[in-house]
Amino acid sequence: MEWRNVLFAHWPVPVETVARSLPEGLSVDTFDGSAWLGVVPFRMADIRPRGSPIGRSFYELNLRTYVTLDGQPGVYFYNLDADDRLGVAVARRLFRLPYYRARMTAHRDGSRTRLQSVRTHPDAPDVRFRASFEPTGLPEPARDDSLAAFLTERYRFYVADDRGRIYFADIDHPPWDLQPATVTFDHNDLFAASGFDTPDSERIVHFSPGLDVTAGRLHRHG
Amino acid sequence: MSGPLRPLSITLSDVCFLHWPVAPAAVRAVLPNWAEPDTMDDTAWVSVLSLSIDRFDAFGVPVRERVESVAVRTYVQTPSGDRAVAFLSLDVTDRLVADALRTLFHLPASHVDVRRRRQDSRTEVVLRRRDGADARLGVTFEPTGTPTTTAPDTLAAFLLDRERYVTTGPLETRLVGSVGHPPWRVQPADAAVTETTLLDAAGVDSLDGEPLAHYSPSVEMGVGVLEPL
Repeated sequence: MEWRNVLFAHWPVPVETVARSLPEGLSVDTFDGSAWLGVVPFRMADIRPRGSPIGRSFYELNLRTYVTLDGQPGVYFYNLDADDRLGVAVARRLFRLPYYRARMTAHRDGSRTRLQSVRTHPDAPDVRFRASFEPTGLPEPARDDSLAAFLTERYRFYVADDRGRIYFADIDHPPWDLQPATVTFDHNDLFAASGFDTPDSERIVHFSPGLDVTAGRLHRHG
Repeated sequence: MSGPLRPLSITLSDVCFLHWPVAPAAVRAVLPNWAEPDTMDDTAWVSVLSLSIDRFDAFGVPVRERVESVAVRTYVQTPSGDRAVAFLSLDVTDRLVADALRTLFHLPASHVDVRRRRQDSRTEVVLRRRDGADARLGVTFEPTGTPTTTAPDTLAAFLLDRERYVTTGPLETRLVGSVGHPPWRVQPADAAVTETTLLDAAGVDSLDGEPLAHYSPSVEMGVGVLEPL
């Protein structure tokens, strides 16, 4: 599949803020002594176009942080909101992934994307999200050992189920091409929905046109 | 060039179809009353499919792998005249998948044991329900010939070229689901059925004679939402 039109908005936060939010077993991964929270919306598409009426293109929106488990760095997802009722239901039912149903609309105006998401999932914290974002420079890969590489070059993701059991999957993709970008958040309930205050630190913003990605099988840790 | 993503997709392999002609009245008896048996030359058909679900993907992440399945299905027309299938039973070797098929897709799914053994080019599939009912199926098959797509207006096209299924939801809601896939590529198969009490459990007990058999090496299909009629 492809992840396209990807915004990375990141905030440094105290390590303890993230540490107390993690299921047992995961450790906070830090850069410059900080933990990081990321808000990442992107569009999912299929690299193999087929003439089927079943497929469609849609956005996903997540709040994430960076962790290690047994020394393996990865992304930990607090939520994955997506505009596909059945996909969300199956992902939750078959692997207890923290997907939530949302109604999302996106508009492209030149290079600027406006995205609105309203969580419609029953019995879940409300999440309204409205943002617009736009790349402002040329794409280039993140330099090794840079903050950008720490935030984006991750090839494993972790999730926890409602009983705190940790699952992981490896993902494969070429290095991200990243552009500087601007973003305006008109509304963002993602922090509150996962029990965080909105960070007052200065945010770091990247944009990527996207890449092809393959996800491997989910494994239960331990 | 990118295209739309299928939020849900399944990859099937080693698919053996066994088809029996039956009287339309026998099919009507096991269908929801709003679906009409679809016939070819005044004959309705019941089919057994034995297959492996290699992957079940949600949002591109394989959430389940290597599930064995046996489906019993028949052929219907929806009130709007579309060709569809109706599942009489849908048995899988994964409890969570069975649960998801029942609750999310409103299909008559059961959790079963399936033993699949291959010796040379012949495969034996033996199914046993786990609920204590005496519902079993034994099939052996061996593909022959080479896979091709079906020709229009043939019996093979009637039996295989369908991308909709009907089922009944809560409060007797009439539901139509859809799948999307490239045309089936099938080849003849030499098949034999050794146990058929699964068919009795599905409500069809008058299958006579040797079935017509098809085999398909694999297909990947997107799974769409269920829509009320």
